[in-house]
Amino acid sequence: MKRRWVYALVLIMAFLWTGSTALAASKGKVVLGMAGSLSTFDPHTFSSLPISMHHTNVFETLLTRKPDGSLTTLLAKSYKMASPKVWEFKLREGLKFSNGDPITAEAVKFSFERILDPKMKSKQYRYFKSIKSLEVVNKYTVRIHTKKPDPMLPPFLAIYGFIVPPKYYKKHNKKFLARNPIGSGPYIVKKWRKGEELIYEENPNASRKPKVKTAVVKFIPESTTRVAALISGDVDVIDNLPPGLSGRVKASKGARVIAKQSPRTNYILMVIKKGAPWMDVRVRRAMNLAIDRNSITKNVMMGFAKPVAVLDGPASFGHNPNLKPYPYNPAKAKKLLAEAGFSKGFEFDVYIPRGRFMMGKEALEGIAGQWARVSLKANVRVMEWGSMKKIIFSKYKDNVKPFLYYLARMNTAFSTEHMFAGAISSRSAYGGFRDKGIDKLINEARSTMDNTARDKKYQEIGRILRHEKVPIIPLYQTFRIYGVSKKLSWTPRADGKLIASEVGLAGAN
Amino acid sequence: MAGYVVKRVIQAIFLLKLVMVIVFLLLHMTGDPVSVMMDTDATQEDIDYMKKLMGFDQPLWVQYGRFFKNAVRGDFGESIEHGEPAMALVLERLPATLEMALGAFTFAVVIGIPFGCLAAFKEGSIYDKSCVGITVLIQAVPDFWLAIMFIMFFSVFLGVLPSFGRGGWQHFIMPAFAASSYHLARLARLMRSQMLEVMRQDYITTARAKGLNEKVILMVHALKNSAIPIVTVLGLDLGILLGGTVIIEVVFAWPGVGRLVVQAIANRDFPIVQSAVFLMASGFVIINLTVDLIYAYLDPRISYS
Amino acid sequence: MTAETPDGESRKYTDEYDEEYRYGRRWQKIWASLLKDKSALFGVVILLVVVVVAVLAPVLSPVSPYEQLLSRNLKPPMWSDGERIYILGTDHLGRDFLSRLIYGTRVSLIVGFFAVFITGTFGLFVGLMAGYFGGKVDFFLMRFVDLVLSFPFILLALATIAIVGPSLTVIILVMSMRIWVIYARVVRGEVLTLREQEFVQAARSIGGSHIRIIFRHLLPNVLAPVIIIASLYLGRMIIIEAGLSFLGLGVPPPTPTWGGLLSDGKVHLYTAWWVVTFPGLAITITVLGANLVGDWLRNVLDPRLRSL
Repeated sequence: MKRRWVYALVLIMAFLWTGSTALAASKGKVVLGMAGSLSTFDPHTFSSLPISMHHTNVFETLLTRKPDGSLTTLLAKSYKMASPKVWEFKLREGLKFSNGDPITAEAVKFSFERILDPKMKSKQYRYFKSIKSLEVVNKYTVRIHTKKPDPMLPPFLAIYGFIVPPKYYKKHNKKFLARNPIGSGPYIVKKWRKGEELIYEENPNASRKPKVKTAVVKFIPESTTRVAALISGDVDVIDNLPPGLSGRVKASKGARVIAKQSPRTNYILMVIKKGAPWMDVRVRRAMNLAIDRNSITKNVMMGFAKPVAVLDGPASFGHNPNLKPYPYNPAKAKKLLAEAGFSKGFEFDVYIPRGRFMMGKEALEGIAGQWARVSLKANVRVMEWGSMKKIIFSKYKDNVKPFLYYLARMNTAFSTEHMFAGAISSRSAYGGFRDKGIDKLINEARSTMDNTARDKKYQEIGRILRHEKVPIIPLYQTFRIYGVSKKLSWTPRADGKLIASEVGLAGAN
Repeated sequence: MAGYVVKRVIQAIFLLKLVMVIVFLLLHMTGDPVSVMMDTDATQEDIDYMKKLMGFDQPLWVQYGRFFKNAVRGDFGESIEHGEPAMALVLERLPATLEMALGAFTFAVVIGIPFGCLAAFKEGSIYDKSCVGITVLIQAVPDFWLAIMFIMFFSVFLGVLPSFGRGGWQHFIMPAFAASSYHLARLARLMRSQMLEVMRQDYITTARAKGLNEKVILMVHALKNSAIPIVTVLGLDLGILLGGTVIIEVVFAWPGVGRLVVQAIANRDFPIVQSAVFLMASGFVIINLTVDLIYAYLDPRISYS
Repeated sequence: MTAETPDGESRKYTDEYDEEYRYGRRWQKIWASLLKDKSALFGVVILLVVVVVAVLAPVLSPVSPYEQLLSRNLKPPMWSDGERIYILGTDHLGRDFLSRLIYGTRVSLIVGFFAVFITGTFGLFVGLMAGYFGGKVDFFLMRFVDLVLSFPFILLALATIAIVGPSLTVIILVMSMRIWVIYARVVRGEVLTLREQEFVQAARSIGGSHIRIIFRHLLPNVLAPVIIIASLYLGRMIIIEAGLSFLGLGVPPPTPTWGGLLSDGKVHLYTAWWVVTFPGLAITITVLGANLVGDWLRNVLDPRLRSL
């Protein structure tokens, strides 16, 4: 009787075995398991990290970033500032889109006008809102006229502003174009089933070849499943590997962990307004000094994060290398609090969006525990992102009690100014700090056209923020962590993007 | 009977409309898509500009009026995040959801009912005891946990089943089983106790005494008489499976409606949520009506006046 | 699903019989059946132990479940820092895992019991009203039930938690939003049968008030199904809480719940087995106990309710 059961079990196993899928990485094909989903292949409507990662395979921009983060040209051969309000781009000649159309200045003009067109309701509009008009000088030369001097334009031209063939994009409607992209990138989209898989094939007309002819992207939201898929060989690369699961990948036979510091800064913002204990700069400094950043990065982030002094890491333009992160000094924090009249501490809410930032909730719980040691009672409130935004936008209303909130920003523009605009400037929708002096300094820096002088100005602002104003609680930059099959060769990028066309097979090149 | 059906359909339409209004209000009270989709580098001007472009600065009743006017024509609008008609996007995902829900449902029926019956026939045997034990245990394990354990065992450890995704039948086994586990166990237990109860009834004993073939007795009388609670449970289960396999879809990266809707709620992509809720609520109404009609067939004593 | 009497059985109720049954023979019968039924006894023992652990949490747990020290995070069971031994190790923030599990018992049980209590009370009320008054009251209440049922649960949970923000109370209410429907339907069905019974008709004909009839005559007779459903759904509630935690909708930190411990521990699945194994076991054993007790109560009190 028992033996019969054993037979049956063996038979079932054998049956399943014959049906099991072949291992992923085979000749000319690589399979990626990615966490973020992709909603559209129209390159001009949305902006998000997953979208720009995928669009980069199919479309090309005027400028781009090398894997090490430095700015370089792509479709443009060269570019220069013709006058303070005019950027001039010379295109590479003889390039083609995947449908055979030539890449000309006309296509560049069309593509940017498509982003700026109010009917498109493009989310990328805000990156290019300084553009007044585009001018075709000749077939391969195009000029961008800005409303006022805009030295920030090139970093954004390396992220968005994908160039598309005008004829094709004029002919088809928005719905069709959302699924059927034509660009000049190394891949074309062969098949795409939303939420399931995306198959890229080599673009025969491309000037840059992909490392592997076919790339398959599988969309896997759950991290434990991504790891299982990597270890069992169903996929070759995974992104967004949580630190806690990295140990399992390291221990596996076929895969390894690759991690690189990304320009994603995590910080805690404060609503600085009347009635908040942290109106007093001593309290803000004390709150910073009470956090042991090294302990958080080592124990909670498992070494996959690095403390920052202000808002940016060493890769950003305008970063001040002389500034050090706030040291851990609870005794001094207590003293400062006592001086400010809060020797017994106070209680407050800290909001954090759910499931958005790597180990964010855990880190914030750790920080709350450290604050508790200097009698600051922080109530950690994990919120749904949309609802949390609603709370953030109501921060200055009189009936809203001052609060703190944890955010992280991916600074793919590698620009300190971009971070200041988003968190420090009083015009920012997300910041909680209003200081006319700082606003003035930021505006001055932003319209300084000389790179060295601008860099200096941002460094100076950084110094003022770190030592005098203390408007925020800077934490750390997290790493992007990947699990990569040992059969692959791939260099992680400084901007944290996993771009399918850059993933190659080991020994193939 | 026809009059009854018409009455129920009219009620259902009213119900659907109410559901849609509630969803609309719930979603609009919790934020607007523009704020959600604007990254943390946006200024207030950027956000206001986008809101105006997309018409979210208008009063709620104007927005609802516009939505409703289009919805009666079957146009649920264009998804904000995808830039495509929302209903088409939901329908595109529907086959995956149906496949999983019906698969899980079939597992529950095909495995649960015979095992339950068998356990009842062999009451008190080792088989019966282990059947009861296993089903009680399965009901006590959270389904996402079971799913993760399945992947660890069958994909990582044994390497016999693909760890995620939709494709051939191999892809289907683990998610469908994980989704059906609770329902399967409940059904098996219900079937067992139902059969035991019926087998003790007077008329079965009488039939046996009359010398009818025992199997016929059991099949015909017992099954039909124990069917009503079973049908009730099956109806409820199917409704739950069609509307609520989100967790399993997330764990197995199954491209179903659930994942799409959860994402759409997070992004306040109203048109997608509206379309999906409309479909799910309609599905419920249809199941509900079917169950009622099956009742009437099984037990003529139930009247619908 | 408006079948009046799901299995067509009719039962005789009389005041005298019921009175005697409730206070006399019924308890004897329950007690006797518990001693006979080994698995029920097992279930009762599990539940008793869990409840005792929950009540005595402050006494039983070695340290505060909130006391964290990042440098001692994710230590395995029986790890010692020189001062004391961490019997179940520590979690990702260096908190004593045994203490968190013990306090988690408390919160998980509170979630389970309160959810069951709220659903039971509300469902009982709706069922009594619909069944007793019938007509328009019944029609509207039952359409309300349909409305709730036709709403995808996860959507309702997501939206509600988004509006109000997550807290223990909100989680309990969200979980209750749907389950009360089951009580309402069963109670309504029972009341429909009872309403036509002699003792209710008699009470009505001598001019008994609605309140008196409902509370004196109907309520005692529908309590049995309510208790049965409650015990069967206690375990289900604990599981639903775990599912909500998995989706990130659970009881907010730092409050420990079993579901929260389990989903927090998920990313340490391969490297720190204790943070997932123990809460998983706690959930499974408790739910098992609750289900066994539920089964037994049903068999004793009202075997007709086996479809629950």
